[in-house]
Amino acid sequence: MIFNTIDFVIFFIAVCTTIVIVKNRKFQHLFLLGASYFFFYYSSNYLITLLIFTTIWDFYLGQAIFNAQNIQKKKAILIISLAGNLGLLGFFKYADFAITQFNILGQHFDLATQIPLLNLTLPIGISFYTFHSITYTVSIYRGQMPPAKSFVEYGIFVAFFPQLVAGPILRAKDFLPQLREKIENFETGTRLRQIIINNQNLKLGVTIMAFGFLKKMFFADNIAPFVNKIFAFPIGQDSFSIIMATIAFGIQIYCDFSGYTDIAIGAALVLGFKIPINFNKPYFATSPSDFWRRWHISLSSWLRDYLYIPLGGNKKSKVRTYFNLFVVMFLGGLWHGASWNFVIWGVLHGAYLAIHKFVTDRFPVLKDHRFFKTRIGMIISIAITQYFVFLAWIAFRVKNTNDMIYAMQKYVLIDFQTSGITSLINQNRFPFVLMFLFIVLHFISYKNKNMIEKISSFRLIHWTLILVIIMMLIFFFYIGNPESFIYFQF
Amino acid sequence: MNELGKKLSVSISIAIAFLIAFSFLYIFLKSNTSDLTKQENDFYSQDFGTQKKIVILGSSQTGHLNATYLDGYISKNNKDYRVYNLSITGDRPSQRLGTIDKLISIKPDLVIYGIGFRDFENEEHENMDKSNVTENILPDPQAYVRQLIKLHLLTGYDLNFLQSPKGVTFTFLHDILAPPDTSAAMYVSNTPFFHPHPIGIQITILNSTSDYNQEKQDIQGSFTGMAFPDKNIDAIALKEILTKLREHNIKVVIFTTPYKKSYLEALPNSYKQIFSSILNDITQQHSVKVYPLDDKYENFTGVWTDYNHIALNKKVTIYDYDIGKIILNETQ
Repeated sequence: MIFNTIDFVIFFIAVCTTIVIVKNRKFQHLFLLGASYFFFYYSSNYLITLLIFTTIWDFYLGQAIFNAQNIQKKKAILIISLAGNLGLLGFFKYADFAITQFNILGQHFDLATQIPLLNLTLPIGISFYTFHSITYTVSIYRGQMPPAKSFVEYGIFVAFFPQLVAGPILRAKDFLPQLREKIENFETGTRLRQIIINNQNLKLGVTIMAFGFLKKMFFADNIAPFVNKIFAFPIGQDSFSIIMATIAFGIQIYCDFSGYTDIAIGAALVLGFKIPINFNKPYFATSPSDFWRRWHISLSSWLRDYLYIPLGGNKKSKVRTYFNLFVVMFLGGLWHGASWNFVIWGVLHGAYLAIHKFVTDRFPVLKDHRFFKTRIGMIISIAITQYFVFLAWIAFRVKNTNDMIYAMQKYVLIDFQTSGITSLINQNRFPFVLMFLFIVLHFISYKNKNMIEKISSFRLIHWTLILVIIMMLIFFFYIGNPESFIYFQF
Repeated sequence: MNELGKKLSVSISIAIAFLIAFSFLYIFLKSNTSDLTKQENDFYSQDFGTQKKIVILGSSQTGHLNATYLDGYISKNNKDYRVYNLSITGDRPSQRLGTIDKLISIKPDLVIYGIGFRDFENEEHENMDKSNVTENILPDPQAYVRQLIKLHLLTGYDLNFLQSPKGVTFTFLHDILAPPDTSAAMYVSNTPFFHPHPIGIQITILNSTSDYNQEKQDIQGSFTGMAFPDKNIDAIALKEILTKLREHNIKVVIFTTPYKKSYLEALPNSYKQIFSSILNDITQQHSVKVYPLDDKYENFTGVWTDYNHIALNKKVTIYDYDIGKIILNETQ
């Protein structure tokens, strides 16, 4: 089920209504688990068996890790858990990619054999729920939390529908306690809290969801046709077209992904659950590392805690640190998809991080220089950082290598061809207007922290008016076929 | 107000916001789109008497044919036929098949069907990542829900006009911000389902090679892919249309709709092959004559409103003239 459909609206209303009516904690949890499985089953059909398998696998292995007597046994069980999770992810996501590369190599060396592709369907959300499960078993192994009290609670953590298919990637130690929150009751002592939809969360959650829908359905979906047009056949396009399409794609993917995340966060908040933010104005990042503290925060922090730090982080030698950055970003790129363009994207970001680290280590005075704290200095830092971020977006968007190289060349080596500029803008007025509008609104939200919270605290009549405006923008510019979220393919 | 009251107020506010926004949308679309079903019912239920009829079928590409001009042209050649242009914007054979029985009921003497590459294109982009599309082995709740929430089943009204508001909004804004010049408009009758927009009157001329190249690149980005004839639902639908017309002894001829050179140069080879294969099937299996007009005007300037529409303009009669000749040829 995708968020931007009437099916989801009806589903969400039904879930909230049931939670409000039935005030029994056990039923609410069971119902939430059932609803989450239904949400997944709706578009994934039989592939729900993988989700259930992952849940059962790690629930019992988590208990086994906790109950293991010594560290070697804990480690062994953890390795089994990781092997199962990553094996499943690797098989469904990368088997055909590996076979294709093997066949290409085979052709290159004139080997007679060609392995047939398995043509596996990529289960929606597998990259995300696999990582959720890994946080659970690793947290138990590290002694950060005990196992979940019940299968139902663990099942909700893995399958919680707002974040199931495209994140944010939840941490077990942050989410599971929310299911076991206690409340004081002076008559009977403490008891476990039911799921409660309170007024404040409802208003704030709906506000966040509304802006999420606006970002996705008004901005991202209406900028997409322009991006698709240019990048369908980039060879022959001039620099201005490539640069504009790159900026447009950067805005599209941000609005698409952060829009989805907002809907997820808002929906979870309505139900009384806090899930972490995933974006923090990434296009105002002043350095590559700052970008990764602002973009897909749940993934970058997951990679930091479960890959970068276990590899040694920045505690080993400088060369090892750069290597670690490269490996983490290489794998981070590969996580996005079984395709070389995602690997290139990851490697580029790995290079940016490594080079930035090298420069700041070599010239520490640059890191804390006063100039970069001034307005001009910050603007320059942002401009340079975003130049490279958007260059990497070309690799993310353009799968064909020749097209990618051409587009990057045109981005970096500007041809100053101006003859097609007027025609390009004239034929794509609406996407250009949206891009401009996005930049203005994004800047306003950057300057005004907590804008969403402020809007949600408006008087009801003003708040309703904001909702009317948002809905009208979405309805009046609705294309007709709901565009899937970009991150669903991962 | 207690907590329940506040929650209720917020929920009611959300519902009110939705109702207001939806009402605005409904009123706007209702007043800016035509009710095709009603128009079709009105047209097909009228009494044609003994009048001999020629009907033109197709999408907006044939919608720009002037039925009034054609009436005049063939009557000058002593033919007593009335020409009806039954083109529908965005029409394709799979949609036309739904009303073919109504067409047969009015017993046209000749059907002229204009088809183009777009008629057989995929409706969604074939480059969309389909690796997430799951084959349904277990029961599919989506199918049940789709049936339940089909708008015309729920309300009994045809609410298809609500499906794609963006185009209507754009046209509305364009008319306000850049009202088109209608001085070259013509009176056109007997075109009940197609309402040419004033933009269709404009003649567009590309001034430079870079404009031409830009147009070609824009066209390249618009292709969504084309299924092979045996899996192409519109090709299958077209054959069914031809079979039904033949069973009722209704003569039909086909012409390929015209395209600009930029479009034909940008066209993928696979399109050309599949289209050609479909036309061959039609010629051989259905004995239907096909008049090729797809590249007839490719090098003409001063006749195009865009790369696949001849302008519906006083100064442009070449397209109508050629269709007129086809009619004369087929009514001898």
